[in-house]
Amino acid sequence: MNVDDGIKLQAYLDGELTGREAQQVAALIESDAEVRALFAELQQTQMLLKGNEPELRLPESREFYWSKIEREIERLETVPAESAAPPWVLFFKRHLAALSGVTVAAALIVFVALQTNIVPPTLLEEIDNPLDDVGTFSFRSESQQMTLVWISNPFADAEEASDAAPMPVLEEIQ
Amino acid sequence: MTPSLITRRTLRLGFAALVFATTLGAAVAADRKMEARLIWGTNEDKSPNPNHKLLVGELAKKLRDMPLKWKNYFEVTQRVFAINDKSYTNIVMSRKCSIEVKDKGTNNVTVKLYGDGKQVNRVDKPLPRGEVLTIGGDAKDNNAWFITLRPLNSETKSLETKKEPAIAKPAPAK
Repeated sequence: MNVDDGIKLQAYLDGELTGREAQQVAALIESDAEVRALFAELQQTQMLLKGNEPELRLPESREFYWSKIEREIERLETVPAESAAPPWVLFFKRHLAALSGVTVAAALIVFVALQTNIVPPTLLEEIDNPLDDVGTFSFRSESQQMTLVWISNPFADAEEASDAAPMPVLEEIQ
Repeated sequence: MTPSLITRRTLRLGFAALVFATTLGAAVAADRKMEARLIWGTNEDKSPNPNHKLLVGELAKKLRDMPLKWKNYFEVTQRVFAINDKSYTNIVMSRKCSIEVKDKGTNNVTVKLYGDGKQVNRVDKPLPRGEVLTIGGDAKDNNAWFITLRPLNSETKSLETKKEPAIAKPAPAK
């Protein structure tokens, strides 16, 4: 018996041979004692395998199992794209919680500082003087909590005073 | 606790703090009542206009404690008005002098001073309660004019002025 005969014998046992080939192998088993012994051994082996082979069942359906693998592959493919983001974006993402906390705290401190006048009023002061002929300066007294903006008018005593700085004049007050 | 949970909680806290701060700010900025006065500063014992009241009380004390050279301050006009952050409130202080005041939020105000219809000065500054903004200038005969501006409590209807003995009027000539 050669190797081909052995393979044919196994194919016959598995029911893979049809027609003439099957008849030839059946005749060989009947006529040859060595072939018959091998066939019997193969039959026993097949029965043992069928009876003792552990059957593994997946906890989920076949489609779901493969879709999980597909999703995992897609996820792993997207990871290099994320790591390609600029470093400052990664830093921002990593420290988002701390940054938002600090921002909120800073906003509250500024708000409270403005409401409770911790910030000196002069810090945010702006004075605009559109007239060329008069000068302006400001003075603040902390003790009196008063800011004085002085509009100096060198022509105050002159007749044209009201033209240089058109403000209340003595005649108007009287 | 996972970082994403911390981030979510921080953002939620930040949002709540922002809403709180905005609501508080809006409540604070809702009502801004102001008082403006036109004051005449002089070293004379009497005002050029006998109808003017001698300035007394807290404001007079503040002006006297400032490094100013005038001994007496007479109140020409007093106005109590409300300002808002939408438009300028125009206050006529005298025939030739007026101011425009606008609430800039978080205790800030913008004051535009007009003389004879011309803008003379503009001041942007914080003006919280207790603070007084005084704009002043030279007038004829070594006198001075002042416009004082200060916030009032929302329930205040008019300004306090401590009663002082009336200025003695000269006896009519017989």
